[in-house]
Amino acid sequence: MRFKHHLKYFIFTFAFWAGSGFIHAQSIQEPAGSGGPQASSVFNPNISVIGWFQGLAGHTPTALDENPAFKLHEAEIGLQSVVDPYSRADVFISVNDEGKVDLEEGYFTALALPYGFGAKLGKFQPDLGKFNRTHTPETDFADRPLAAQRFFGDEPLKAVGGGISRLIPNPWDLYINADVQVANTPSNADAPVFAQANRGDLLYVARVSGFSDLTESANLTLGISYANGANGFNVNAVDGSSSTRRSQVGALDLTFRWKNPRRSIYRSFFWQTEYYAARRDLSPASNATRSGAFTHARWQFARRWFAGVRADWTQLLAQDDSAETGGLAYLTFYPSEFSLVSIQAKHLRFADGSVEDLGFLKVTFNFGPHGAHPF
Amino acid sequence: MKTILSKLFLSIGLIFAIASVSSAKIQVVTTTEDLAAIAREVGGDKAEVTALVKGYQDPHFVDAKPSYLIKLQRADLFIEVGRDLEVGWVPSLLNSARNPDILTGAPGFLDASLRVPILEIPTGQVSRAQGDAHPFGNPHYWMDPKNGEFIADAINEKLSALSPADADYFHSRLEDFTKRLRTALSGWEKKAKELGLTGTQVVTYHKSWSYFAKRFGLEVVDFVEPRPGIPPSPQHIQSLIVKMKTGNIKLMIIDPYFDSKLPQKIAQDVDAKLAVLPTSVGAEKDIRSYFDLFDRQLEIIEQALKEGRK
Repeated sequence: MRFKHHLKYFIFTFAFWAGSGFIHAQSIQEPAGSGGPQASSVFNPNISVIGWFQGLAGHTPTALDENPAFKLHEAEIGLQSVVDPYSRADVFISVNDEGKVDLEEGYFTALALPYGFGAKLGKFQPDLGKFNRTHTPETDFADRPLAAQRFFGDEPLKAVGGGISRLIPNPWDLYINADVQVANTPSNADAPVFAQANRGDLLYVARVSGFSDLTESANLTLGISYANGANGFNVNAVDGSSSTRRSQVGALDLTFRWKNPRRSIYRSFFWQTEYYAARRDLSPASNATRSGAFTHARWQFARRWFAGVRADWTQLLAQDDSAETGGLAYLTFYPSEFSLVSIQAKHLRFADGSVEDLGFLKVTFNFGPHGAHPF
Repeated sequence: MKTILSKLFLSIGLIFAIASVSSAKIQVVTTTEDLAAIAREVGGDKAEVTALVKGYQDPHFVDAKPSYLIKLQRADLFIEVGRDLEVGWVPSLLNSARNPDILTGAPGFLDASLRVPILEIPTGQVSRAQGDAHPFGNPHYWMDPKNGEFIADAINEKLSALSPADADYFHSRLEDFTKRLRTALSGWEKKAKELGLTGTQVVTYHKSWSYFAKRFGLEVVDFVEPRPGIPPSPQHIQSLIVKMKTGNIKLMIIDPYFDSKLPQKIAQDVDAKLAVLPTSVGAEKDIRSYFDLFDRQLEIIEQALKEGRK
């Protein structure tokens, strides 16, 4: 039954794709032909690199803290290009100072689907909340928010699959976007809230987000997301049958921005809050609900200077409803658009009452073609 | 009851008829107000033109707001300044707009710079050591009114291709605009000569006045920014002050979206006049057309020079 459902989804997506080619073949110019002496370099993808160096100092409650004082956290290599008149592809590969190579994201985006649909296939960071879409070097922080770490791991939640999106028409002419994604459920080591079971136990993610300009200078983004994925499986000791446990995660995100367009490079304010709630099956008859949240405010007080604070709170998935709390404050200087130096202080109180106090030096630099400024 | 119903249906029919007439216009979305002003000159009442960025905004640094996507999704024609001016925000919008007709290379996409004689195209190696350099040349070309002709010509061609039945209409509007622009240009050039701008040395904040300076004979000798997009250091300010004093440079020009405190202080130190010039249509309430932009720029320079001579 489930296989039939997946097959229908596949056929549906393929039909859109194939249809888009026929529909738009007449309305789009022919791609440039090959040949010509510079053709090989002209068609090269845009190549960019983001380097992330980090210094660490402070106190952790563990007896042996193996985190090094200095680390080239990663160098993220981006390869981005239009594939043909109907699609583009984006690949991000990270390499750390221990030589570990990881495909952060690699997806193919269909740009010419009919009826205003968009679609992508590959490995990507699902739209579960707003923060999850941001690669860690590009966030304001030296780490990820506590709740995001406890639910989705040290890295953003990533999954291999596909998704479609569409703007939702509405009488207020507001931006309302819907995303639906289907992917393999990530492993428990990557994303603690989930645990891959059978191949057919997929991760389903849906997000609806709305954006509104409150004034010329201020705007608000509100999003609500839902994910349903596997969380291991139970084996019936009597008949040997197995059943998949599921995790359901809901996320609410709210982002407020202020920036005077007449002085856009000098002053801005940003405030983002995200709340996660996860209900995990523990057995066929029981489940547990845990939640977490963070709120982050950032003030730009000069052309190249930003200061921000983040407050964290989260319950632990594997324990009772005891919680961890923490906070992070930072001061960041941008020598140019293409590099930053940030000093950060983090305080964390674990569920057992022990305390961690860390200081970070985060330096990032990027080179290559000018990338889009994230919004 | 029947009468009420028939009136109701008639009203609904009229609304749909009006809506269909209005939607028959070519929907044009431009990045800047300048391109929008020229597109309105050519498109007349056959085109509905919207600009994403206000005239008082810095077009280099614009947030790619999702509300822009609604406009882009409905657009028949998208026009950008090009030359990497909008590289920080336009590509992500076009990729997210889910409108294949306006993607780069599609019939509804226009890079308005393609026919313009572009200045300062780098010939050697380009690197970020030069600041936020534009590898395809200086993108502030709309600040030479002569280039308005090339922009209008390219827009006419696109509009005519999108709506061949209206090609004669667009062409006649192009001819009229070109004629008026040439007349106005000779007036502006005459005024610039009367003001004694030819050979006048100026310092500008950003490298955005090259086209304007070339057209009206100004000589840009240095910039407040040591390199494009890089804020000035105290050492650079000091050397700039020395250069202005020794060179007897009496005019500074800055764009309205830069903080004027530092240029004001430099101008005071060297006894120069600071002219905050609008860079785009819509930068001030009364700059409603491409013609108003140059009228106002020369008016402000005239005031600054008069004050300087007092």
